Amino acid sequence: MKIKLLKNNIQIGGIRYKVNLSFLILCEWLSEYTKVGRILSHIFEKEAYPFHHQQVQGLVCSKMWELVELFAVKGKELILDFKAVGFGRIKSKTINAKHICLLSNCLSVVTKIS
Amino acid sequence: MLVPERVDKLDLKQQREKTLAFLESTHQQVVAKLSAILGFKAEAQISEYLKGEKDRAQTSKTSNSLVGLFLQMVEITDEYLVPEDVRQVLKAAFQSLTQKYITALLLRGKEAGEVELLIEKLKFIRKYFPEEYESLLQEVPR
Repeated sequence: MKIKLLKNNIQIGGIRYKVNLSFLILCEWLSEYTKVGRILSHIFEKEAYPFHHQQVQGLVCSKMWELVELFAVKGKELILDFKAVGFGRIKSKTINAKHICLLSNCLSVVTKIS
Repeated sequence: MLVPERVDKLDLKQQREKTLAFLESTHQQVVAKLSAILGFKAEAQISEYLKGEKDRAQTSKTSNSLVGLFLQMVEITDEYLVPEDVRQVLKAAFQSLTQKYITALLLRGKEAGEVELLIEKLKFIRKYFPEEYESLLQEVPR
């Protein structure tokens, strides 16, 4: 699947989704995790330390799943439970249809790439 | 040397399934919320329109804003969502609009032109509701 990241947009397999900033940060963090995974895998080479190599892969995947779940939990709290208004993290005084649309898109994309 | 903690393959599989199920359920809640907000707006406008039926001038004005409101909803969702999600989100609003509003117009018996005009205005939503639009066309009195 071809994934292209644009400004506040992400294109997956020809479909362009508008996403929010927190989603782009999530992508950045997931990318950092994969980098860490690659570096640790390199340290524990597959042939030399097969057990540790496998554990590194498992650990990185596990942490990435935790991050994705945290994103969904926080997204739900901030947008669906209107907590973002209290934190003053959005420009408008209330949560509107656009904010919910963006969250919906982000969740669609995360599900798609998971 | 750093030794990572043990993570079993089975645990990972379970974690993946759990996270995906959570994502799916959250997404459904988001879609339902959006649908309820937009559906409620449409419902409120339609009720207002049906109440103010006697005043012809006001009715005409409300009729335009009613269609305008729905078109606005499509515009917002179309800008942000993929067609399948737009369809899911606007289904309730579209059903209210077509069932209540158009039925009310048809029951009056003398509004065929207005129904036709409305259906014409809604033409572009064929992208989201192709079958529903086709059945709407059948409703126009000949």
